[in-house]
Amino acid sequence: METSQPDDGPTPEWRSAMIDVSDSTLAELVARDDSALTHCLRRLADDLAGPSEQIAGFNSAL
Amino acid sequence: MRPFRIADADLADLGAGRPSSGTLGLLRRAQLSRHLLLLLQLRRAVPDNPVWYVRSGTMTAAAFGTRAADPMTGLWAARVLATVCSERAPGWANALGDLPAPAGHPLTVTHAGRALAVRLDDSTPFRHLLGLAPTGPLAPGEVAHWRASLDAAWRILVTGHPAAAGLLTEVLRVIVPARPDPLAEGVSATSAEAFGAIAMSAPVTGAGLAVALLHETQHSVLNAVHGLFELVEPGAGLRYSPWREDPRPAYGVLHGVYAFLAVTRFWRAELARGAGGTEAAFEFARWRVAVYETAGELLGGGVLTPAGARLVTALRDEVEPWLTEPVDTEVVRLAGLARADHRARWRLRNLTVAPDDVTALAGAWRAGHPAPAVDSTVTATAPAARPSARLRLIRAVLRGDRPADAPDGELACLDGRWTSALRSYETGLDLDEETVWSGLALVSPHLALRRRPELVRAAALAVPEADIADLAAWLSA
Repeated sequence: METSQPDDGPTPEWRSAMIDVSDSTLAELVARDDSALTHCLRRLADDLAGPSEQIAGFNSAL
Repeated sequence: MRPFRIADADLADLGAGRPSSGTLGLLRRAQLSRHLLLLLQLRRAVPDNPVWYVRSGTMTAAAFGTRAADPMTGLWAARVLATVCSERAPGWANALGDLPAPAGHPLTVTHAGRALAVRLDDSTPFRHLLGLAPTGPLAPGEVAHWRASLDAAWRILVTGHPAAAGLLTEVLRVIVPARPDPLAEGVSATSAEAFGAIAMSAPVTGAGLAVALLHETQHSVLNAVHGLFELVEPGAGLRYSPWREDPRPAYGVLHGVYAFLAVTRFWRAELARGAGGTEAAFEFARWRVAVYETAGELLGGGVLTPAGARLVTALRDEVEPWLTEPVDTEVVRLAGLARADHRARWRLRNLTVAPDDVTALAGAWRAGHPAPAVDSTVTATAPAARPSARLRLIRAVLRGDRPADAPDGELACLDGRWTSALRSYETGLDLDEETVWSGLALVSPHLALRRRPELVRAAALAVPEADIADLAAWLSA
């Protein structure tokens, strides 16, 4: 998800491109069609398709 | 639906490895959102409602929420999207079956009124996606071993590491037993798609399990942060990581720094409360410097995004005061030797000098000219789990178990008797090539050998008639 500089202000905060849908049901999301959701889904698809460090491993013999 | 936001102070606390309960709750919501979006993608990929979607509609909201938030659901959904969607065949959507149901053995351990509840998953079919070959279904005795080990680890954490114990209760949900690696004393792994799930080989000690759980949980937390904010700029090359044998991308190095922040904090607390003996002192002394220096290299390398730089700055600030905390000087010396040994062996395994540059070096040597400046480049190699024989020797010496049959040169190196060690490495008697070159890198008076052993080795191979010490001096000039 995209990174931005923290907002200026008395309590700076960082804003993600990821949207909070944790209170939604899946049926609600299926029925929904808006640009924020589409944008987020596109980024998620790119994230899955792109090269990434999916696995992190630990060897205790180190 | 609103974008996730995190206060700058909370991001800094995450970087310092001290996230609040509220921040961890935000990360859990972010992961649930991610899972829901993955499932939405899966549903939208086909014209008709697949079986899993129809069945999910028959569940109560609470039951579906719990199922959707499960780490194995995230692993399943990501896998399906990444693979099956690219290989569409008639009926594939229905062939997916249902959402994965929680499988395995529920384990709950309690100490001093604090409980940790996890699922020991030895049966989910795709559990190998966590990154390690899983065991088969566990026998009752094996489940009992896991329960006893988890109980011992939890006792250590609650007693000596209450904040770390709190983090585990908020993040850890699933442990997938994995097959042991014969080259390692214990292995564990985490997937970015399974927040709160860990694969690991059967623990040997409670302390070992506690460290591994903290280590892997850090990976889960960092993965969740990375799901919200890019932390590393794309395109950064492979580089050194003090806890890996292979070259790693910047994001992998960041993962290592973040995981070993927790490992270092664990051993620091063990040392402070008089537990863990010399091992605690050694691990603390070894990793505090490695974490601090590697964080500095990430910050100075231009590879971090602004959010990544904020996170790593806070991490480095957290560790900096630890550098001056008192540790036995002999332990500190051996910890420094272990770090230098790892870096030297890593360079010898993973860095090469281009053939044209080697030819130029040989020509300059034979012509009596100054050494030309040449670079070493990273060659990607497969991960190797070969532990260092020298590290094993260091640990044996720390335990007071000095092996009588160890090579004289190695013992001299560990003792700090550089002249004797240098003589042994120069003659190379009874030592393999990597031991000789990494040993020379540890004890040579010449900077070129200490800093770039791969360069001196390349030159020595090109001009075999030259004395290695003379070559090293020439390359150091």
